[in-house]
Amino acid sequence: MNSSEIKLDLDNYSPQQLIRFIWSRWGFIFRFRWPGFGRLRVKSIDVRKTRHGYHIRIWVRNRIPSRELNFLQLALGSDYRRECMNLRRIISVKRMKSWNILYHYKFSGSGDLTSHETSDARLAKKIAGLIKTFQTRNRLLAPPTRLRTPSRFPSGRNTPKPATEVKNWAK
Amino acid sequence: MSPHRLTRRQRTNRIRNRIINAGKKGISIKQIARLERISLNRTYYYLRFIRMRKRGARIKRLGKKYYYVKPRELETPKPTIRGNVELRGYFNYSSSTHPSSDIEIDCVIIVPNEQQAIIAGSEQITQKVKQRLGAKLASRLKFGVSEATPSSTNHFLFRRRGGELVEF
Repeated sequence: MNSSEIKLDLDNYSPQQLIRFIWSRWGFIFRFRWPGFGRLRVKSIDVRKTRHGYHIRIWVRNRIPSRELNFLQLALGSDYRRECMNLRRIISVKRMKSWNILYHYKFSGSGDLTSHETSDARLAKKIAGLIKTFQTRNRLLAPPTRLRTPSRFPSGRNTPKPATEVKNWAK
Repeated sequence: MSPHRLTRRQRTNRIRNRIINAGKKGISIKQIARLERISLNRTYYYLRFIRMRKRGARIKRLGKKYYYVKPRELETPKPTIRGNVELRGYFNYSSSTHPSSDIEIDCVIIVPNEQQAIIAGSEQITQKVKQRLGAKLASRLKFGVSEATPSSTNHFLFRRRGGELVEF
């Protein structure tokens, strides 16, 4: 099943470390055309702070198959244990359609909140800026095309709107 | 007895009514203590009696707030519509010395994005696991809330020793 939402769980990073990590890694991934889904064309980004790190959701125009998405998430620096478990779910648990999960919050049976997401619009804006920089680099490879404003968040009206939108993404 | 003093039953009923009237918003222990003009410790003491009564009204906590969960909400399964969330109850245990005791539980239900409904859903999952796998495993369940996708469906699965998934 193809998806257009990349979900990353980045643990044990301070905001500075996260930016440095993204600067060093993501440029390579966003530059090339990959088999299965092509060059990534980002629509919007949402960053949320959790107890141990950050949850990043990236909406792209590409339709990415499950295994490729799993590998892409790992390459983008998502928690390796989460991705290994996701791979296990994709391969062995056919009935589990929703394998790629980032919890908004977690709680124990007694009602204690163990983890809770809080929005970090400032960091989302910074990451969007970085991606735009990678995008500008891509212009050397492909001419830029003006894209329409991203449509509404696909999951429903109660779900939060993505924090930052990346426009003018190179085709 | 002083006219301003209340019996345990009276105080318990007052606190229960405050939680019921709070509805979807819920009420924190500090709010109850302030409204009742009693200490936090005393409030916890009375809440213990409310929560001890299993039948009828159910008072549940999520984070700092207490909510009233109607017993009928525990039974009605919710259809998949927009604005819902996916509530997952999960537990993974793998023993390094006794592989026979390995177990994975994965239960998902779709509920409206409201605290009360989420608590009711978690209670429903706990009851179902309790019936099938026992109270000990049910008490160790953890819960997570994520956005519902068009492909998300209700399911109750478990597997032992890395075997096949069994629906219950």
